[in-house]
Amino acid sequence: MAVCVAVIAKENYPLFIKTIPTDNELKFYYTVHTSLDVVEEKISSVGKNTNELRELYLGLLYPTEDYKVYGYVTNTKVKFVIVVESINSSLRDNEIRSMFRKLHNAYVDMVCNPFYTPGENITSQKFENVVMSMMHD
Amino acid sequence: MSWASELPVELQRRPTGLVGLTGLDVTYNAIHKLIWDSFYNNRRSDRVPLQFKVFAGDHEYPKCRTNKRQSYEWYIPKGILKSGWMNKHLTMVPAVVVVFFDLDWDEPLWKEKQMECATRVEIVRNSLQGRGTKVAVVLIQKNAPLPPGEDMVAAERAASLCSACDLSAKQLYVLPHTDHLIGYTIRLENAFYELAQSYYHAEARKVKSHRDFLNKTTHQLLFVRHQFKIAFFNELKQDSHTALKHYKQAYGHLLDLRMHDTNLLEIKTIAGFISYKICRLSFQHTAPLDAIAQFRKHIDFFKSRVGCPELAFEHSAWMSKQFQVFGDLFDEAIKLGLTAIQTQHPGFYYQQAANHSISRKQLCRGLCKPLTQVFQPDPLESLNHLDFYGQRPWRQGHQSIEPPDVQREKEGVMALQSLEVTVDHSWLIIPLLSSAVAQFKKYKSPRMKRFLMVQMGEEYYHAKDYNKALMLLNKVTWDYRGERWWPLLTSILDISLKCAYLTAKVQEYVSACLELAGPYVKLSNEEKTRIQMNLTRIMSNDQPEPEPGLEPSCVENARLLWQTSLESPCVFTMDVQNFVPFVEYKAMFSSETCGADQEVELQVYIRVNCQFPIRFSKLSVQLNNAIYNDYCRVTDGHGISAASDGDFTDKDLYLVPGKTKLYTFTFLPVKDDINSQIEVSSMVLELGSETGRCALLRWMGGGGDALLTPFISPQVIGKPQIKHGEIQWNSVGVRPKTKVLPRTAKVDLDLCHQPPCLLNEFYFLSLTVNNKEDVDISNVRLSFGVKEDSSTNMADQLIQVCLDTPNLGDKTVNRISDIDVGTIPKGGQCTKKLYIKNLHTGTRIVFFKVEYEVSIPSRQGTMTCSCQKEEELSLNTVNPFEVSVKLLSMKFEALDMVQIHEPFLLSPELNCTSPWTIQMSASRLRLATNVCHVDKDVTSQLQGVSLNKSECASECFCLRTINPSPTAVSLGTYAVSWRRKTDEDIPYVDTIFPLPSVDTEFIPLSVDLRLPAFGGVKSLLPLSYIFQNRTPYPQELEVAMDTNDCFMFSGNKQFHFRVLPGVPYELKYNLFPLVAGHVNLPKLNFTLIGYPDPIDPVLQKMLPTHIFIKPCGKVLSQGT
Repeated sequence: MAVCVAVIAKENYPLFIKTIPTDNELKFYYTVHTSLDVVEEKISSVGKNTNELRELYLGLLYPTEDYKVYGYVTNTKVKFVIVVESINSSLRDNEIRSMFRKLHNAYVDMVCNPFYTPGENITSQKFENVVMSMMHD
Repeated sequence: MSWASELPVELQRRPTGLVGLTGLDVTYNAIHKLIWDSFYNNRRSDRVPLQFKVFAGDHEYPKCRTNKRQSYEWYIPKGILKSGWMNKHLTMVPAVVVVFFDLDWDEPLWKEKQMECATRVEIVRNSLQGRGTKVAVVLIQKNAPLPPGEDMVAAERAASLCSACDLSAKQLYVLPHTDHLIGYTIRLENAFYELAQSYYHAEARKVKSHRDFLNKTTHQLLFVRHQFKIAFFNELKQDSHTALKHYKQAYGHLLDLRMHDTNLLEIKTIAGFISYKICRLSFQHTAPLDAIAQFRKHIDFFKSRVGCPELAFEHSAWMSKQFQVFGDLFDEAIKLGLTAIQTQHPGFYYQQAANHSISRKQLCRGLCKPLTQVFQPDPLESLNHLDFYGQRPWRQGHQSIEPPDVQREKEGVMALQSLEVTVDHSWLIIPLLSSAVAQFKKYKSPRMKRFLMVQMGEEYYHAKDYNKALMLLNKVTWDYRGERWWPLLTSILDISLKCAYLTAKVQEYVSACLELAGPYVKLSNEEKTRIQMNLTRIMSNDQPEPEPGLEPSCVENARLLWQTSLESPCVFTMDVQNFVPFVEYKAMFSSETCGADQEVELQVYIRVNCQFPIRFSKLSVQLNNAIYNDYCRVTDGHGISAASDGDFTDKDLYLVPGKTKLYTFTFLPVKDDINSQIEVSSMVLELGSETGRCALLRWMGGGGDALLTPFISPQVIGKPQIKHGEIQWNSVGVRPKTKVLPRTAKVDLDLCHQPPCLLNEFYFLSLTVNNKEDVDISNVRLSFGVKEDSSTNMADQLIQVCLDTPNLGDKTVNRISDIDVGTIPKGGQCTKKLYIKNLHTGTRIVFFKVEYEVSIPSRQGTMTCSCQKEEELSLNTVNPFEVSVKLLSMKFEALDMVQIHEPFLLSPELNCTSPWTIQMSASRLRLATNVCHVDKDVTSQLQGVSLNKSECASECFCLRTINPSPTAVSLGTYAVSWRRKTDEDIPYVDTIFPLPSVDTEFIPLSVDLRLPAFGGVKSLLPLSYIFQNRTPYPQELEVAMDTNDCFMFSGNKQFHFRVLPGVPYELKYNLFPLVAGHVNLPKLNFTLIGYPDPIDPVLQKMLPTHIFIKPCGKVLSQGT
């Protein structure tokens, strides 16, 4: 389903990026990186009326010819980005949301590991398994 | 192969109705020229959208097909849209032809002129045979027209002209060339516009009427063509809504066509045209969402329809063009006021256009090669003048599924491929990327902008413009580094390295190597090792190995460049904050502060994170004071490639990966730096040799970790931890500054004085400097004075100081600096007398400072240190005494008024408030001009008096006012000379008190009683009253003496007399006391004649009331 899943730190550096297929990894890196423009813009536009609770799911960031990029930002400003192929039009918004929820839960579980220092690259096998399951569904 | 995707100019311009003007001689006739200009020039948007053209009267217009088709039954269309059609209707077939003719209503040769005009109209009609083009006549007249209905001749002649020319009345116009030409022109062109609209309307209907003859099997192409034509005519008519409707229908019909490889290009070409028109009109109708939706639909439909696989690059080119053109339309709409958003703006379309161009380039690489033979005839001969848009030049008009001639088709494809090879794709891609960059920059997408810049850089690299590529990439690496997207940075650096290699740019090459061999870059260790080896090569003046994957011809070229660049030595500086090299550095002063007599210790930690050990040639630390730089330098004598000889010495710059190396420098601070900071301004590490190639890596300040990671709490600077004999890099802190403090002085300042200070006195202080140093101190200087108080400048004038002798110059001195005391031997002391005079009560801060130099032994012999010590004293000043002044009459009664010329008493009283005994030397009255002493000799009664606390001293002066005085008189001042009673020889000081002013009164007469100090019982007591007249007039006075039991008297009991001015009058009585003791004198009553106020009370005050009468003593002699 998803062809690329990325976790980006608060400071916008990548904590985890997994892509399928792996041969064009760099392209996905650029796709994820450039999508941060939209994420930043969306976060900052919400920040103006602070009393409103921000929804974590940001929705479609922007469509490219071949892929759709979706974004999600946790309350600690950790960003999740999921890239799906545009051809995969059967994917509904709800399904994307549930993917993000799943990813968020896995991330929380991973952070709970006392041996993990926040800000380090994510190497957890369990987390990776969750991501892989989302990509192979 | 841009030919098939290019949009023709006539498609892109806004269609405007064409109006032909004939009969105008714009070359030789000035009036005609003026008329033409008024039509042609200044066609702003508020004028009607028409296009004017001058035609000759006998101009041949394109022929209309004469045999109007009645049936399409046997007609097989050869293509969708003829390439000349749009142009024909835009520029060749006018909607209206206007015949201009010079003719006035009062023309004498009217008949002939009318004939001539009719002929001209006829000629035009003939050349327009078969077309619905409207004809109009404009008469150019010299005279202004009369109001309608008044000129009967005009009406009649107009009617006759209309019938002669076979025109309706609405097609005949008059143009008087008067001052208001432009007004007439505008009215005329509005009329023409109406005519043109009706013409285009008719044309559109005419095309529509063909529809009934069409059938769906053979005329599918015509459905598209006709709808396109209707839409285009409507555009010419300026009915864009109808036009849009028909373009959409045309597009719908187009998608219904059967598509196969032979006609796909034609369909795509026309689809591109129609879609362009639809999008353009939608934007024009401010329906951008419609435009975007149409474009999406268009792209989604055709995206997968590649067509002939050998010509797949054509499809990419077409796609690229579609995106580019849509981007342009979008951009234009934005310029006209549309607002775009971050996720929907022209940049995306330009980016896609660029992407398709990139894939076109790749397809071209795979598919195309130059022709090896020449085909006869050339299949591409008519490439640029096709009959129908989008057809293959070698089989124009052919509409069957299979190509007619397979061999010819092959040749054509090969010819097209060879044409594609000649295209330089990079120069198509780069401008597209550049447009996209501009858009993304505008819509706040910095990362996308950077990504596009990387793509541009890559494209420049492919285009072999390595310098430009390097420049562009250098611009963005910083941001990727800052956001720590290492994989992206790695790929960019990789290209940079290649570019730097190919252009033999040493500095760029070295900087890329230093970063690529570092730990953060995602490259394999072998790769990093290879890069570091290249770095070593280049720094030891060798050629680097070429990067893998480069074209051999370029490598050959690069080798030559390197060869030449190696010949000249090259030294360059690289600031480390601009990239992340594999070397890290931290500087730390061993302590926060440092005494002036202590050595400063600077520790420099260096660590490398590369693949194999590296040897630097020189390390030098620059401090803010360059004097120390010599102490902070390490030079490695070995060459860059020399291996380590095993022992780690301090003088060796051989660094092993992962191991932290420490270099310690010590030096003594110089005098100038006392009280300031010593700071590391930069550190330079040299790689290579200065004679060959030398890279200077420069860190600013104290360095630090190459990358600051978040979540690491601020470093606590302590002693670096050492584990297993190795310094732990992470435990090393950064302390780039240290403060040099002056050496602590070892002297005592003893102050001896007796507070509080008394106001105005010379306050004596004795200052003793005790040398507690182990050696003599020299160049001892003392300073003392009032502590600067910025808040009150007044203080400066109210306190004065002096040294040794209590003398004050004219100038106010409130501090004395640098009193040279010379040398004080070890254990010795030196005392100075200081005086302070304070002119104001209250508390002041006074400082005492001693500075000196001392020689102390150090490692390099002795060194001279200067020290200083300062003490402060809070000095309170109080009043020494208070003065109260009393005014008394001669009878010691308190006075509230002083009578002019009459004597009175002044009695000042001093009340000592000083805790210390004070000693008076004198007191003086400084009287005002109209007051004087009554006595000739006045001596101070206070001379030599000493007062303790709370004691009083008082004295008395007899004064009188002189001269005619004002009603109030200021008496002057009272000065007391005093000092503190002490053993010291300090001078007396004068303290001056102001005396009060008194009221005065004038009396006309004064009286004085002269009598002895005492009397005796039964002995004569003579009295004499002396009257003085103070007025310039004689005064008459009446006196009466009261009787008294105590006295008998002789003299006038009641008397009337006259007192003359300036002459005293004496009245004498002889009294004979009867009783002893302090007795009342008999009272003399006064009445001044002619004076309204009673004079008696005034005069009584001047006279004594009592006298002492001694009893008559017993005469002893009588008793014995």
